[in-house]
Amino acid sequence: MEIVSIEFLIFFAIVVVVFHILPARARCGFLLLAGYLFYGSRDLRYLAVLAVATLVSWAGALLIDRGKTRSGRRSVCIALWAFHLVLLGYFKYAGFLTGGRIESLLLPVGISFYLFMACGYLMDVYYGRISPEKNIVRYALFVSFFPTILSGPIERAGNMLPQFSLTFLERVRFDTDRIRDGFVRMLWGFFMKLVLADRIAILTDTVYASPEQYGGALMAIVTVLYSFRIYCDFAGYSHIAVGMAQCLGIRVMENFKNPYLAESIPDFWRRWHISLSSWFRDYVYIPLGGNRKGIVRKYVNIMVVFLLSGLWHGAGWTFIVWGGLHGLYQVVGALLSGVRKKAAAFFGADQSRVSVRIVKILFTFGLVNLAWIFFQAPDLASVAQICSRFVHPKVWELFDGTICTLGLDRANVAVMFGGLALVGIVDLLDERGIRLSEKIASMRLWIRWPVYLAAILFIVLCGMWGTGYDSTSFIYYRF
Amino acid sequence: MKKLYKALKIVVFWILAVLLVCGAAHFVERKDSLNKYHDFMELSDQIDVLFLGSSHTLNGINPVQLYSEYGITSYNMGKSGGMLTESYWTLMNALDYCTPDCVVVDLWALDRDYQYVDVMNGTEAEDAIRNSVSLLHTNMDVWPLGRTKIAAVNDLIQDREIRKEFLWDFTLYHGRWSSLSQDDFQEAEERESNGYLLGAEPRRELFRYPNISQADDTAQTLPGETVSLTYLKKILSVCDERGIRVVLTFLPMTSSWDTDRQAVNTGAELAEERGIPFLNFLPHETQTLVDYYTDMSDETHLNVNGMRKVTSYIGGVLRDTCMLPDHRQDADYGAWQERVESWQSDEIERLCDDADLYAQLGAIQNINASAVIFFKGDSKALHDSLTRRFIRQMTGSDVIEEALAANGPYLLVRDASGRNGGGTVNYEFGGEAQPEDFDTLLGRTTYIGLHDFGAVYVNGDYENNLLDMEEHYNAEAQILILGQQGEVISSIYYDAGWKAEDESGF
Repeated sequence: MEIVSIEFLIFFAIVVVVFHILPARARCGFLLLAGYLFYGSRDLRYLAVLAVATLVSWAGALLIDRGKTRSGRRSVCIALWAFHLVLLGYFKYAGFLTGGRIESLLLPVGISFYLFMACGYLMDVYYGRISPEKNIVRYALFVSFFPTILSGPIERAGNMLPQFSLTFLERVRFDTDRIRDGFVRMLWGFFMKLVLADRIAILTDTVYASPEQYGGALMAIVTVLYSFRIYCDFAGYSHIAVGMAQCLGIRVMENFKNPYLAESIPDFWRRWHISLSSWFRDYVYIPLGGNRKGIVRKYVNIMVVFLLSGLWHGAGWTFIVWGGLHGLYQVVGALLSGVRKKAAAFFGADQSRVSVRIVKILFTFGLVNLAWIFFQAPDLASVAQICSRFVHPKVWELFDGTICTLGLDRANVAVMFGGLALVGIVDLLDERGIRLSEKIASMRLWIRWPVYLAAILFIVLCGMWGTGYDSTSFIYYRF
Repeated sequence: MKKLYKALKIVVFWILAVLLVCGAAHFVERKDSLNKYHDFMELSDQIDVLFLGSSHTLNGINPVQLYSEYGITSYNMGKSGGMLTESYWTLMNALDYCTPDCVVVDLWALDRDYQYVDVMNGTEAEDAIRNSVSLLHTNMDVWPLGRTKIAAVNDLIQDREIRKEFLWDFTLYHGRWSSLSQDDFQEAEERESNGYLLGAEPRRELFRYPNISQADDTAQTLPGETVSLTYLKKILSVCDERGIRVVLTFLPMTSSWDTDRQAVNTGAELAEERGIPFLNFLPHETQTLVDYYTDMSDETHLNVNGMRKVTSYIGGVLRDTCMLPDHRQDADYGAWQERVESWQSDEIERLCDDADLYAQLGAIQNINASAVIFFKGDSKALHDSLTRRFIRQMTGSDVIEEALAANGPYLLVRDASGRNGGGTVNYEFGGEAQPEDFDTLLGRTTYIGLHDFGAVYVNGDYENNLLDMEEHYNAEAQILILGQQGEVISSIYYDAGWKAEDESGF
């Protein structure tokens, strides 16, 4: 069952209704059942891997908690991490690590997400941040909560487990305002994913499939469009997940916060895939020593975290280079921090001025864009080929209608740019603390309803879903 | 009370949303299927014959002509690329609406041995499979979701995802929003693209250079029972259970393969075994109905000329063997007569507009129009073998060949008015001639045919030559289309720029 399908929407509607009808003590089990049904509908073998990982991490956490000595607890924690990483390594990286000699039999979708959640839980228990969950049903629900299992956010046990407690679930009422807000959030996610990400994908895939046919100017536009495609894809799914959870009365962490309005690369990573970057910060960077062991070690730690982050995104050198490039941005940025400050003082640039902020945003966006070239490419040779096109700009391709020959007709190109403009406006308003969805929700019914109905109709008509238009799978499924 | 109000609001909101989506689904739906079956839905309770098959049937049999000539009510359910598996399910869907007296099944592709249109033989390119699935939509979209349609989709499509696009085609067509046209917002009968004739789709092209490549005669039948054969037997069983008579056909093709020969042999065996008629037009040794040079639109499909001949022939067989009633005098069947009149009116309009000489000559014969046809001396048209072929078919005489021998001119006055209770009368003159005046629907007609001049005068009015010997003096051919009273309703001239089929004689 795909999230972008009629079956899933029916399934979700039933889950929402039944969840609210059921007594609180049955809700946890029901959500677990729904999660397993949803996840198992793809492949029952996936469910087996999920169940094994769940059981091992649940029992492992209890074992850590019972450890008498710190070294004993540490050994158990390391062994359990090793087990989960071996599991991840086998299913996701076997081919890459062995040069194709060993290939895993299957790649369970979302495995990177739930294994990271389990690892985070184990370390939280080890450091005593939380107590181990004794109730297996509640813990299994944390690992397999269906809105987040496929593409995150990578949740923390400290946030989720209390929400699955009886006392919390007893307080969840059928609140139409909350459900409406969740639904609107889902709509926005579907808009970003179906109307924008999948539409842009057609255009960018066409160009990247044969870059030698196009000039550098068009390639630059396509690279920018790819940046928005990946944002709309990742963030779109996150909005859907957060909205679904909201409909069920569960609060899931935010995962994207206007990332292309970041003024620096560290700022970008505070806004982009927040649950993953904070996971690496909490469970890799800080345990490695963070910035507590000197400046060199700090830079080494940053590079390690970003190289691992790259590897997490995909089993390939291009992903590792992408991660490394972001690490390098941060290290070079930190090294040049003094020079930058002096230069700013020399030119009298006030950091709070709008023009200075715009320059910083554009510069950061440019760096992020450059890195995405590696992210999308199948290999490093393709990156070289794409970069070589910038030598031949062929500027006229921007004006002679070429863009309407890349898999999208004029009307679809108009929808794409119009949609991107809307995303830009919504992000800018959000940056200023104005939530468009809240504004609409506070309007009178005769204004609010037409807006919602028009949005539904627009997404249903213009969304790239169904069999005819190859609704591509969410990019995050690969991770 | 507040809770009830909130619940009511949710219900009303979702009803509105569903209505909106359903409305949008109606507009974005591809209209091919609705166009093809619009008349079926309207006339289903009066249909006596259903034609099942592939594009050979679709382009080969004209139910409007069948009614016009024999008063037999029928519908063409043929579909491009349609296998017998699809024909079976088309029949099953149609039987939910009507019970015909007779079903005519074309046996093309009886040798095909696959079940699923989205898998085919498993060796076809993705585009071919997508095309195959797309064509099935023409036959399936119109049927409302029900037990028969679900069974059909499950039987014809293997991929579960593709099945969904048949059960709710909005999953496929919502993407059409950017290509909606005026047709999408009009009712079926108003749409410009609705060119179907009770389900039939005439082809107007002429297969200019037919490569007649027929497989050798053989006594062999298909080596085993193919999926198509199984479904043919299922069609026969269903018809048998419901008392519906069956006629089998294999429509003409200029090219055939050994498997086609084996298929017709298998069909013939089955027909003999069951005692049902089999109209086999495949073997070129015995097939005399269709002229491969004038009646095909490509190697395997009849054009509008071939369609007329085959329809006329099959109509006679249906009338004689199935004893089907003639409804032409029945007032309840006025809707069928309306289709006939509309078809004839469209054909005459097309005839007056068509600039293609071959199409003109074919159409004059097809709609049995009255016309004056003149080829000047040394005309390219006269030297063109295909033009002469059309003329010979029209007149049944060799005067055109005599005209060629004399190097023109040539005149044909075709009187199809049925004056004095007679049939069509052709007045033909080849070579230089000045015959006695003769009576036609024009009136008392005078003809003067010289090598470099031609004149047709009516009722002694020698001031007005019906042939244009001034502005169009150099025209290779002149065709005047005549109305029922002999009035000229269209004059068409083919000048030296007209490209003849066979220029070798020049």
